[in-house]
Amino acid sequence: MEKKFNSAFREALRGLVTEGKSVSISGLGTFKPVHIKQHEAENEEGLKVLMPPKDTIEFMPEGN
Amino acid sequence: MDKVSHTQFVENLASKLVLTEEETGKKLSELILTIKKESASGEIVIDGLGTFTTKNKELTFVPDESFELELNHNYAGMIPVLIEEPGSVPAAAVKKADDAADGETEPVDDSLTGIDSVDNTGDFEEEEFVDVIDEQDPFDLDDEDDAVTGKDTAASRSGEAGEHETMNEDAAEKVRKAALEAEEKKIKEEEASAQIAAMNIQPNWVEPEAETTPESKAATGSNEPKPDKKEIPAYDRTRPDSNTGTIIAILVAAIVVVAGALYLFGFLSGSPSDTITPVVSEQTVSPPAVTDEPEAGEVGEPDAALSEMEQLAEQEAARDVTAQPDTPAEEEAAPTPAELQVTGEPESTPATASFGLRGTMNTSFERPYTIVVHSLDSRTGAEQEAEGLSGDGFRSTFFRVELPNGSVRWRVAIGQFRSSNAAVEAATQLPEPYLTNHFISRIESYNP
Repeated sequence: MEKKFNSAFREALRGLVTEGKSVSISGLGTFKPVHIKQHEAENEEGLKVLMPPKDTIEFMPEGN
Repeated sequence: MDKVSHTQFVENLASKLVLTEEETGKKLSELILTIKKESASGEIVIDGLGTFTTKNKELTFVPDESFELELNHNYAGMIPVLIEEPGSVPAAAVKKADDAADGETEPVDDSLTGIDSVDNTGDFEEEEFVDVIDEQDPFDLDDEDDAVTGKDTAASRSGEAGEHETMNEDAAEKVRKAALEAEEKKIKEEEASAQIAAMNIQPNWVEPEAETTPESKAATGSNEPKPDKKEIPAYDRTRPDSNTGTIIAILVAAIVVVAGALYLFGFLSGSPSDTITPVVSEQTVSPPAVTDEPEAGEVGEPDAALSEMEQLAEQEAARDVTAQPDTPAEEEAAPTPAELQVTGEPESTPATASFGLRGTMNTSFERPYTIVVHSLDSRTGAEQEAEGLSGDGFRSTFFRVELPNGSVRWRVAIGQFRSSNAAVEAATQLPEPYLTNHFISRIESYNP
């Protein structure tokens, strides 16, 4: 049952965050998708490049 | 952003497990305790979710790679887009050219400027584009503007001459010699002078500010577009003699016929994609003809000089036909309206000619920058989205992207741009949701 629960926990959390939702879990923290816009950067050769946009997951532990 | 509370999450979890919320809440609390306990002494990994660790008494979470991939499915397979290539110029210079090319400056009739013919000649790699800016910006509309408004400056004319004399110095010298010889012969022949005088067309050419009149058109004996009036003062400044003016008229007519023949030759012999090439080649040929005409105009019987010029023109045309289409055009002066009339109208229309956000996709532009607004796993869906955007007036397309894992995405894009900077700037004009949800990429292929 524990394995099944862990699997369900993972799927539920992944599904909600992938949909762009911020999920708060008491005692643990908040999982929040963050969009990083396309932005300029320098590559290894020192040339300017436009980095692709990216979504990442920001975790804020409870109490902060 | 939607927020899911602890209670809502438990409800969601309970429905998946077919358990009561109380039971689910209890199990969730046990899992949380385990995570905290395990992470305090090291780390705990939940497959497919991520790794929890404690650093400085603070719980941290690093998402699993598969989780991040799922989250970034819209951007999968994207790689950094090079903005600046080696040897490039400051962004401000690129922006100036972008503005001109995007029509953000004054709208200019492309049939007069010939921008189409330049635009369509090849790839728009940043490096090539920068080279063009370095030497002579083909998108700098100053020359064309002058031509359209009828302005002409000695400085601009001498600038053109300087460039092309270096290209055809030897050939021009030959023409000059032939012209001088012929002139001496002609001066001795009084009959020829009388014949020229009988034509009675000198006033149209000797007046420094005179414009081309119907009589002068008649003198040319052709329905070809009239010689640009800005060419006339150049002859007059060098040779105010009335007889010479008449000869110049004849010579100009001959040059127009030759240029027309060259264009016809290029048009008939070229494939559809080559039809632009004769225009470019004649851009190269025509200016020397203009700059050399004062000397050639002294010739009473310009056949020898013309023959030389015809050979030169043919050589130039042959050279340009074999040239790479993306050869930088730095040595080519922007064509004058008269040249364009001789060489013909550009094929593309203004709606498809320039870059920009709206209009119709010009599939002749190779690897232009664009603004991707959708990334879908269905070709049909992408096609529908692109059609919808086209219906809204956007220049839209969709293209196929194969991801490293073998899967395929269909991306819907708006606009065609010469540079990433132009695309970024244009993206600020998009409506929501595209305004805040887009990325810049390049179109590798059109509507597969």
